[in-house]
Amino acid sequence: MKYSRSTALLLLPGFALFLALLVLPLANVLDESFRLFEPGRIGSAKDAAYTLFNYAEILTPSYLRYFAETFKFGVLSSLIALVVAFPIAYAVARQPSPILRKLAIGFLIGMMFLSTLVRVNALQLTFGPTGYGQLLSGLLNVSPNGRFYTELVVVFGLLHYLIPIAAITLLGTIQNLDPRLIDASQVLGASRLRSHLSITVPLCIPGLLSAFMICFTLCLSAFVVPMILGKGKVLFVSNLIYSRFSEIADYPSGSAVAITMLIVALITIYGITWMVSKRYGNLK
Amino acid sequence: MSVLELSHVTKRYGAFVAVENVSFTVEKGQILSLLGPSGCGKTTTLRLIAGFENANEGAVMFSGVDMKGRRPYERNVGLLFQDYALFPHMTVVENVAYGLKHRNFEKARIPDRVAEMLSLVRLKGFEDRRPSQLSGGQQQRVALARALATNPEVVLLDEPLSALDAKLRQELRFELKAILSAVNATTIVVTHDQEEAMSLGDSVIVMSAGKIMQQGAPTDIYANPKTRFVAEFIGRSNWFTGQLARSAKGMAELNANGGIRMFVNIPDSSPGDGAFDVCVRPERIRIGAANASSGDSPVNEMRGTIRDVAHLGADLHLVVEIAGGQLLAVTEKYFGQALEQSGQEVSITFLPGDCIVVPSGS
Repeated sequence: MKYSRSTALLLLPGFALFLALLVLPLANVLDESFRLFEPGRIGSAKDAAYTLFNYAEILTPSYLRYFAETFKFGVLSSLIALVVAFPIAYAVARQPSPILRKLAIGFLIGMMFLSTLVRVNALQLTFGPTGYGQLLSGLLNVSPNGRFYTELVVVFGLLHYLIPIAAITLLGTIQNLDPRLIDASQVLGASRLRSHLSITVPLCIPGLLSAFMICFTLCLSAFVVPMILGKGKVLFVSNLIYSRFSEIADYPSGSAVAITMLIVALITIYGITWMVSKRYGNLK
Repeated sequence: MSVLELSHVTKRYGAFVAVENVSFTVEKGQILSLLGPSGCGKTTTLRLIAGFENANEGAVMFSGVDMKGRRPYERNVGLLFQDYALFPHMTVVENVAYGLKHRNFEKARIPDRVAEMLSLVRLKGFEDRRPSQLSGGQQQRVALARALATNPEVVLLDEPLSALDAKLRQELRFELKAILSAVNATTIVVTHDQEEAMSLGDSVIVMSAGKIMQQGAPTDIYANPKTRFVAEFIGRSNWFTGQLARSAKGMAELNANGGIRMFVNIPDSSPGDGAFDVCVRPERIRIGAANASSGDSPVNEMRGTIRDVAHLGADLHLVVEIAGGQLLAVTEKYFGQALEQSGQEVSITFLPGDCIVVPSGS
């Protein structure tokens, strides 16, 4: 395609905004991450020396734990969200009544308008000590103040906003799937469950992959959920970055953590996409 | 015992009756066409046989066994979908092997069976292609191989040729018939296309509004339609409506609307009194005056004006206006003769035996 002058002009405002709001701050963060920090200051000195110390620090176990925790919760919650959202999306996509279908889609979209703070506090109220916390922890035979129960509630918190988003993402994929393929599979002798496992799920891999990516990215950047529901026991990288920046004003360290997180997340996402598209490359 | 029998099958969706009291049987190796306009219940009948729907009343029996409550995967049916419904993420071989795998076909023999099916449909060399890499005709043959691989008791074809263009359709129709007879498949073809129904079927059932209107061999249905609906649905037709006045020897005189009078042959079971519709097929009407030596059998002769001549290749389609302004369709074969001209005055003739009498408004 040939770009004319008018096309370039149309792209200019967006490009300028992108430069000013994304590239420039990111470059600043990158620069800051290599600066030497003197305790007591707010951020690095204007002419602070360059150092790799901030990155070297991340390789210590106490830092790596944050990364491991974030990824563990991210992968686990995203997978659970997909497993729960897939049947929901399927039921909505195949709902014969247009009114019910629209209501269901409206409900899913409405769920996303709920403020994270409200969700988190609602969950805290429901599964905390004043709610069903005692009952649920008793059923699971764990302490309501123990680490497992706290982790469980954090997963609940993440699922609370992952499931509607995953369901909406999967909806389009399933709607594009020819329902006759399942008919064909059943006529050829496969039960309904086997038909879905060998036809529906493989054909939905691209949609499942995008839904997973969206969920995973949202988990990585989750901040309020671990902060409030994690009760200090579960902390994500976002919380670490926050405490570096806001609590001890060590901007260089916070920046280094942020840059590392960005790189690791990008590598993970490209890695997963590459693996899946290699395996299922024929599915566009 | 019939391979397939439907006995007084009725299927309702709420107050809507999709299939009403439908009964028929299909023998081993026979091809039956279910023909009708969209919404006539033919597709519901197909879904009832395949097991996607359950009948409210009546029974669907495979070799005498009632299929009531059996799901599609608990019956042994081969179904060729209109849009083929090939699995896009599988190769040709995987598609054909799918049914064998799920019907617990002996694992070691699956590759041989797949190869056998692919040579039956002449698709050797396409084993590792995906459906998206095949033409429409090739996709259809894969779908056919997949449907036939498990040796189904009944093969169901849903509008098998309608997705293909006209030239390919002719080729594949012949091939389809050859393949079906090679495996001696008991087949039901569901279609709204009379050509498809008549060319493939040993027997044709015409359906309308959920009911069977008429069943018979293709020629029988075309030559002896019992109702106006069947006559109009199969082939082209010209209609005259009026009262029948009986005369001798299985013949009657029709006083048609518009002052037209004609002799018609009436069936042995003589129709009662009242109004009748008379159908004359376009190819039975001849242009030109009556031959003087036509014996003692009366000939219907009318004067008319040619209003249109369309040359379709082997056939000429003419429109002739007769008394009262009625327009008749006339078909002639083209064998190099000089064409009639629009506006030309002509005589047209047809014999009493060319007339099909049905009750009026049927």
